[in-house]
Amino acid sequence: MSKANEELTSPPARTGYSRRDFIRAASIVGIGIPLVGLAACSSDSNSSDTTAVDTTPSTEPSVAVTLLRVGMNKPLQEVGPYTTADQGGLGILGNAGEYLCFSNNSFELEPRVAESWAANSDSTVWTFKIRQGITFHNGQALDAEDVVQTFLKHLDEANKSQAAGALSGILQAAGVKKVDDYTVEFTLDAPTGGFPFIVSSDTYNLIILPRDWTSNWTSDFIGCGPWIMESYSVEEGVTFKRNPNYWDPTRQPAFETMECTFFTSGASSVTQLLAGELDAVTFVDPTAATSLPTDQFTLQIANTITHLQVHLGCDAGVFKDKRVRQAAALTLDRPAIIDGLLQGYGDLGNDSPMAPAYATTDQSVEQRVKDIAKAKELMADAGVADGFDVTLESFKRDDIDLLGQVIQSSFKEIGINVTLNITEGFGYYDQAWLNSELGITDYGHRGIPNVYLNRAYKSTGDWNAAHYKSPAFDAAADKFMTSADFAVQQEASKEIQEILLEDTPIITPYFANTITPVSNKLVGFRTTGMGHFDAAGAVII
Amino acid sequence: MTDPGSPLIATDKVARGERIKVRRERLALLRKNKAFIAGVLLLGFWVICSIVGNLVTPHDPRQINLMATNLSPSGTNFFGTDSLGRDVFSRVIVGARPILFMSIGATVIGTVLGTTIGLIAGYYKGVVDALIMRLVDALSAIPVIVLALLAVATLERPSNFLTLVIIGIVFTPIIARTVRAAVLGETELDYVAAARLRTEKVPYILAVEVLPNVLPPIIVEFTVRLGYAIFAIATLSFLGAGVQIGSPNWGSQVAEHYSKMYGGIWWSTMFPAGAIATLAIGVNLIADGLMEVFDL
Amino acid sequence: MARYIIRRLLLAVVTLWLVTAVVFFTTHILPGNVALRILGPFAQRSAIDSLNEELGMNRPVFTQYTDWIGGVLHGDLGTSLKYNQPVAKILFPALVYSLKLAALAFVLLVPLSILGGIVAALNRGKIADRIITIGGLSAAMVPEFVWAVILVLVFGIQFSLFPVTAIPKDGASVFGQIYPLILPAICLVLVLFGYVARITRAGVIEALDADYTRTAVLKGIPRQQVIRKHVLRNALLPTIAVIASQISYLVGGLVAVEIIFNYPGFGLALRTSVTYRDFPMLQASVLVVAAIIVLVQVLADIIFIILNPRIRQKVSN
Repeated sequence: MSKANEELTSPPARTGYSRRDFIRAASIVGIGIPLVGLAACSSDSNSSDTTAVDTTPSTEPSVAVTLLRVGMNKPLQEVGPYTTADQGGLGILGNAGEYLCFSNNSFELEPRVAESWAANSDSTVWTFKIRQGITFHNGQALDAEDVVQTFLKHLDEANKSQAAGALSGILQAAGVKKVDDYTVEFTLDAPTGGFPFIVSSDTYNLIILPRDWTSNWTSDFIGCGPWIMESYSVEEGVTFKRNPNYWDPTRQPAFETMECTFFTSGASSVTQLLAGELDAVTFVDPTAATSLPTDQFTLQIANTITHLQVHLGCDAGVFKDKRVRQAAALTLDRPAIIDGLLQGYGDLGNDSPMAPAYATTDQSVEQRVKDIAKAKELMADAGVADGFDVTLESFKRDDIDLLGQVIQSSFKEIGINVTLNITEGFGYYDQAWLNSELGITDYGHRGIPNVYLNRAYKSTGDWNAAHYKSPAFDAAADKFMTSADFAVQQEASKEIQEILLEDTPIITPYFANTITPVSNKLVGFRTTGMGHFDAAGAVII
Repeated sequence: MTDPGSPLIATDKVARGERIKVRRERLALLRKNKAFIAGVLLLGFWVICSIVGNLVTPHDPRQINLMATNLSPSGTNFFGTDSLGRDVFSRVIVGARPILFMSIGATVIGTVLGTTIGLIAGYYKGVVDALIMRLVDALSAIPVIVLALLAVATLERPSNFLTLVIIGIVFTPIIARTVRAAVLGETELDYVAAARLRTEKVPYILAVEVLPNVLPPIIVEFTVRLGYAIFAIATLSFLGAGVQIGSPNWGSQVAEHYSKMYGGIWWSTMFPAGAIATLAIGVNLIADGLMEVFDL
Repeated sequence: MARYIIRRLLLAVVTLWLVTAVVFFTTHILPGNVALRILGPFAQRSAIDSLNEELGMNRPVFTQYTDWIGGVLHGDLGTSLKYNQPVAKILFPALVYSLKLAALAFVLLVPLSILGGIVAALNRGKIADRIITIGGLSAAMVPEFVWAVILVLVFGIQFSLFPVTAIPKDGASVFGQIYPLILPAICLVLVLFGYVARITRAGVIEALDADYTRTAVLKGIPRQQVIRKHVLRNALLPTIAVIASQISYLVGGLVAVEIIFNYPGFGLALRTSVTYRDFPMLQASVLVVAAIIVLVQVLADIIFIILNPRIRQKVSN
């Protein structure tokens, strides 16, 4: 099987420190880096995400193709700012809507509705400058009031917004203030160094809405993004037309129309791509991707933080003893898992959310490798040399099904007999998720690890399925999250990595790459680890 | 009860001798029916696999090998390996057990319940009869697969056993209808009247007198239903209803791997799919042969 | 005859009522957390609780049933939990797609299976007969999804003759719309061909043996003409009935076929609603489909009666 051309839209972490450190620091201080500057920073010679600038329609008026055909995941829920909680839905939100800033695959923030931002000395008050001259699809002009109202809507419990969780403990309604027509000030509950990331496209529900918006979003998909909804069918797809009044001339779509077809399986979208019925598919799984011929298609690969967490109940039951948890983690052959399950498209996980792709991650912390002898020894020390039975809970999805079976066969090597209870739909989250000794939970990409630390690992976290309680960890996590200083964050990250490797409340076997196959004729089509796709700067050559 | 001089007993004996003779003739006919023999061989092969399959597989059907995923067929892995590096040949062999166990189980449940209800309905007619006909109508308006999906969606913990019971229950009224039709014809005959004259109890009449005479349609209905059960259970496991992840189930093997076909990895889909097809065809050939011989 | 038709319609109503009861109470044995299904796993607990309250999930099951039936009778099929849109808005476009696929399957099925049945009958006991009858029924016992993967591999991937997904394209030519549907339609045809061909065969054989045919042959009318005039007309009637009775199998087959070909019809919608326990959507889909099946069967019965003078007489008496 020949693999298609691969491009790293973000370079491997090991070579990318200095550049990313700079950009990330810049984003926190809030220098409004223009896109051209970003493009210049991206050093990959043929990286397609940076071609946006030099292939804008204004410079190439001869482009005749007016239709872009995209295959995307079908939204599994009502699409809307409050309700969306899946990749398909957020893909639509991000095209019709616009965020304060956009979290891209190089772990950078691109200014969008916000022109720039800055924090006070302890990162408790953040001031966002709102861009002038933006209008919504209905012609209404956007100013600070719309931004304030958008946040108040999401913070209003009555609206049951999916974003409320991401903001909880950080921002309350009283902390959102309009300073003048184009300045918004956020006063936070606690110092948060990465606040711009939290209000960026990473919290994908936070597209800026018209101040008086109340209606059903699916009827018009109103926003101020580069694409205006023309037609939408929940089962088939969505068609957008170009927003002629889009604020950024460099990102004015080159296509009159963008036709997005919904797919429920990556394989069938790939066959459509092969048949020439599509120009790009947002995301496909590795095996589907490897079937594409190299001469016609390019695979855009991005190192993301998308991962599966295998939680081990720390407070009671078979995994109460940390030696047993360490033993379990030692049974996994991670490089083989990445090869066998992901066809190599993944980064090694070291049982903490501090992924190798984060600039703040300390790469010197030793990687955990498979060691059955040591695992058996730990089991014997913990008094369970003969092993035990346990049930693994999760929900059906291709990658979870596979990892579940690998865990079952790996744990067996040290006598742990795993029964898989992998159910369909949301049943897992309904009951088993926070009440199981062993389970697999999926976590989406985030530009900074705050959400994982805050909600899945801290003793106060509401997604703490492992029931992990460690004051040492909580202190290290707080140190990481409150600081805006890169050196301090790196130091805190090292502490976090070491504590979690020792305590092993959660096994993180890998971080998945995203794979975006595009026709060789299409350039400038970008996706993000979070699940957005951006065709505003794309053209067909 | 036994009266050696009774002419009724004599006719009974004659009838019995007649039945044995007919049975012998039918067996001889079946032996000459090539399609039937082919069906027996196909089904027999899978039955043997389902009994001794676990002992004869060249590899452990559940052994994951991440270093040997998606290998094409070879001397070591006759049918190649799947996306977790498991031996497809071994998984196809042991996959015979769950589908045969479930489809035979479902058909037995349906046949036992259906025959009981059909005998009663055909003998008494009236209300029971009307009720069965309405139920058959209602059930035939909901496709088996859709009905089973509905039930599986509702169950908190779907399992093989529950799926088996659901299919059995769905089959019950259909089998009851067939049996009822056959019984209706029989109740008019002399031997039933004779048994009534002897004041035999109804359960005795139904079980000892009527049942043996309506056995041919029941046997044929059983094999036909078995075919449908295989069809339904394979489809449900393809749809992921009530299947334990990782179990070597033909339908779920197809479901897990068919998307890999587009990338040229056809073996992990085609061999289990072929297994389903051969089993289904085998059962159908048997049903077909039986129908011909019983002249139904 | 009018009495028969009325009786048949009344029975259909009873059947439909039974279907609503089966569907509703099957899905209401388990209450489950409906709000969580709407809001998703990452919603806050307080939001989930208040939505459950709002949806009235705490009402008695029987009240919920009567409300549901009331709604259905007024044309309100409910609101999808998954998409928070009216079920009808999602279901009807899907049904139209399925109808297109089913229609194509019937268009292929009817002439093929009738032809097959006639050929088999005219060659009774010969090889052609055995192949059509035994082969046809054997094909019918192989599940649609197995046919689908075989056809996709052979005609879609190996020979690249047909597209392997059946995404409908608006504004495509008639051929452009039909072409991607051919493979999925063939899967359905393969599963239905055997029965229909066999019934046609039986009808033709019966007609061939009938007195009027013998008389016609004795009168010296050419064989071709006899078959066309006498045999076919009498043999096609039972075929109509059996085709109508197959609609239930056809609908069942749509589920698996639509999944493999990623075709946005009823089957795919049903599958999604099963996966995400979208009960309003699930109940409505099953009910609507059952209603269609019942209607088709009633219509077929009535047509059968009208066309068949012998049964008509019996019924009138």
